[in-house]
Order: sequence, then C-alpha cells, then structure tokens
Amino acid sequence: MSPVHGLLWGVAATPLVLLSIQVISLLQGASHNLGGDPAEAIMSELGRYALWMLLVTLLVTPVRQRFPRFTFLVRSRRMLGLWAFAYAILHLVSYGVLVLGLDMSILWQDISQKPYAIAGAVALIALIPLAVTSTQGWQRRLGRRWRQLHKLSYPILVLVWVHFLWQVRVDYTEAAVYFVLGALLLGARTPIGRQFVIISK
Amino acid sequence: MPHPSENEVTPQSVYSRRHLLMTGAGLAAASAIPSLASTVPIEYPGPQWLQPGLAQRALDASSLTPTPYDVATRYNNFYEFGTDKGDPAKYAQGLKTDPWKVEVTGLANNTGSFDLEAIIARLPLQERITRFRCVEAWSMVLPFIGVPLNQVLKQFDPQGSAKYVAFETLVDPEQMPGQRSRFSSIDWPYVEGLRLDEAMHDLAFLAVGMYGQALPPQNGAPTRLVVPWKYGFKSIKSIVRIHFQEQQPPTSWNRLQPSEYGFYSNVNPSVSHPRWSQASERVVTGSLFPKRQPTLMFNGYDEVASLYSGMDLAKFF
Repeated sequence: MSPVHGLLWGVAATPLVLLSIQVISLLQGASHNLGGDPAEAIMSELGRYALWMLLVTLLVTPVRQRFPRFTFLVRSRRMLGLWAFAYAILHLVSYGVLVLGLDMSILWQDISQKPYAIAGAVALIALIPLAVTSTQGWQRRLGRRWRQLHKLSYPILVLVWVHFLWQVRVDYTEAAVYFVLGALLLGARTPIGRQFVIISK
Repeated sequence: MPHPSENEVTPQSVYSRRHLLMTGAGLAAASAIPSLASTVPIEYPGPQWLQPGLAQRALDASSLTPTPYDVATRYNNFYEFGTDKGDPAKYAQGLKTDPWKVEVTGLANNTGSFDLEAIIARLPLQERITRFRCVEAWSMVLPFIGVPLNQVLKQFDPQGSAKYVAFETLVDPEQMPGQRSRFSSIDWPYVEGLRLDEAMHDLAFLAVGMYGQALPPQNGAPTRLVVPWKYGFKSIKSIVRIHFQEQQPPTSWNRLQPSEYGFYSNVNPSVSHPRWSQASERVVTGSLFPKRQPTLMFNGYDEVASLYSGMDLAKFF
C-alpha cells in the first residue's frame, strides 16, 4: 500500500477525530468550541465534511489523468468516496438523533416538503448504490456500466451544493467557494477541460 | 455597592442561586460562587448610571428556568458583528455603548436627540423572564431587565397620525465588522418596526440588562427591543433611532426575503417558513441533546391575540 494512501486516509479521518475530541470535552463539561447549540453545530459540520470529501474524491480522476503512473489512486478514490458516504450518514444520524431528538415525524415533514431537505435526501440515497458497488468485485461485474453508474457522483455533488445553498440566509461566501471548486471539477471532466488537464504535462 | 464580578459565566443552576443571593444576601457573596466557566468569560459591567436601577429592579417570580448565561451570550444572531452565531461574542466586546444617543424623529411632539440615560434612568427597571423564539426554530428563556416600551414611547408624545414606529440599529463599520463584509446582502442600517398599538402593548419591552447585569454588547447593548410574541429578529438590538410614521416601515428581513419573513412575524406554529417547519423548536441550553418542544401561537403570550382580531395571520404572517 502506498504511503500516500495512508496519508489520504488520515486526512479524511481528521475532521471526525477533531469533532470527536470536542464532543468528549463537552460531555466531560470541559472547554469546547461547539458553541451554544452543539447538536446543530455537530450536524452541520458533519454535512460540511461530507461535501469536502466528495470534492476531494472527485479530484482524484483529474489528478490521475495528469499523473497516469499514480495507479494506487484508484483505491484511494474508493476510500475517499466511502468517507464522503460515512460523513453523509453521520450528518443524517446527527440530525435525527441530536437536532430532532428522534422525532421522525419532523424528519418526514422536512423530506416530504422542504426543497433543501429533498435535495439532501436524494443525494444521500443516490450515494448508497455507489457505496455498495465500490468494491473491485462489483467493478468487474458491472464492467462499462460501473463507470456510467459512478458518474452519478457529479449530479450528487450538484444536489449537495443546492442543499447547502438553500439554507444560506445572508452570507453566500462559502456557497460561492464550493461553486467554484465544483465547477472546476466538473469542467475538468468535459472534453475541453480534459485537454487542459493533460496539456499541462 | 460593588458590581458583581462577571468573571463567572453563569450556568443555569448558578444563575438561580446567584439570583437569590443578589436579591437577599448581597453581592459580595455572589462573587464568591466558584466559576463553572467552560469558556472564556465575558466581562461587561455596563454604564455607571445603570447600576442603581439594575440593583433595585422588580423581580420576576416566574418559574421558567433561564438559559445558561454562557449560552445566551455566545449563541447570538447579530449580523452587524458577523453571521456566525459565535461572531458577536468575539467581535462585539469593544462596542462603545456609553454615552449613547437615541434620535427620535417623525410624527411625535417631543423629537430630537436624547441620551439613553435621560430616557431610562428615572424609570423603575423590572425583570422579565421571557420565552424567546428565533425564526430559525430554536428558543431560549432570557431574564431581561428593562422597561415597558410604552413608558419610553409616551415620553416622545406620538401624534395621532402615527400608526407605526420604526427602529434602527447603529451603523458603524469601524466597530461592526459585519457591516464591512462585502458578501452580506443586508442593507444597513438594520430596521425593524411595529404597529403603534403593538408597540404600546405592555408585553413590548425595552431591555437594558439581562441576568442581573447590563446587556452585553452581543445581546444588543445598550438597549434593545424584546417583543416576545414575535420571532427574535423583530427584537432589534443596539437602537439609535426611533421613528414614528403613518405608513408601515420597510423592515430589513422583510425587504431581503418578503416570502420568508413577514412584517408581523408573530410566532405561529401553523405558518411554516418556506424552508423549514415552525411547528416545533429546539430549546437551546448548550446540551448535546437539546429538548424539542411544540411551538405555541404567539409564543404562548395569548394576551396579545386581541391586537390581531379579524386579521388573517396566515396572510399577514
């Protein structure tokens, strides 16, 4: 296994470790930086990490096109994608358990009525088949269709961004940053974008 | 009389103990209570002229348990200091709040520029332990100290043609980093308003303190509205202008997003915000597992219902 793979694993796990330390501090009554509403803070941070990991995962293919000998990155992409999925699941679980206090009727109201919640729910559901088929076995079995299926990650990224955008009240800075990063990653996969990625060799 | 040390941030249990001590045994004992601080304390003594009034305030016998002080002072929406809930506590501490001028304009007989001290100092202060419901579906219980708003507005002798009263927050980008931000879509100053009969209702309150002390800057020092039957954003902070007028004033959130924030913005569990439900609320206490409770019409302050008799509150939300 490449040391880079291990390093990327560490990078992906770091937010969870740091957040866990904060939660432990809070539970022990020690100083923490989760603010006055820790439940909401944990939920929104986990969602943010899911989006970050999705962006990092989608960065892998352009990097491989630029550096074809980094074959080990194929496995890293799977690992990073699974981290994105894990953060998304933790995001939903923390919403249900911490923010809603397990009142699932509110969750259902949100998912059935509120556009931001629908976008988030669809994105999370769409991640499930990608996580399930992320193994090499499924990759072989599905052949060409595997690649088509996993291109779903781009519409998922758009949905996640919309899920974020529709909750902004005043300050669009962070949403604008994600828009630029997402647009670059999407652009890199277009025929013209691909030329740019390869030309810089 | 020594001012109580604010080195202690005040969790719930400590606040209620201190509450008793400050009314009974005196302040020296209060400062002996060990700090249970989990974060850096916020020190804000407030102006000298306010101290006698704060000390002699009429207490509220309500059995509501106030939100822990360190939560109430660190989880704030005050976009003049930044959009993050922690920004106001971080960036508002230098706000100069004394002396403080309030400009009174419009359809009133006694207009002009007044010192806050001249408006407030001779009125007896009272404590009101208030349920406070944010439009973002969370709530707190805050022990504000101040005066009924009508006692202040009457000083300006509004004319019969005045149907509304508008309030403005300070504009001072040097002191308020949020007003320097290029990405904020709010047009400063922050403006809020009430119908004059709403403003004259005894529940409409002008606060100058909370938790036995002066209002900290992040909570709207030196003076703010507390309109407990409306969503929190109606309770405008750090007021520098009061304007009496005949027409309904354009208010900040209503202008920004009219489909989401109405002029009235009465707490109403049956009118959902377009983006989220208002049927229930998270009781913010700093806990990892906040309690969720049903939201009540007018935030439970039914005595204001007569102000809206005959009005369709789903239309005038």
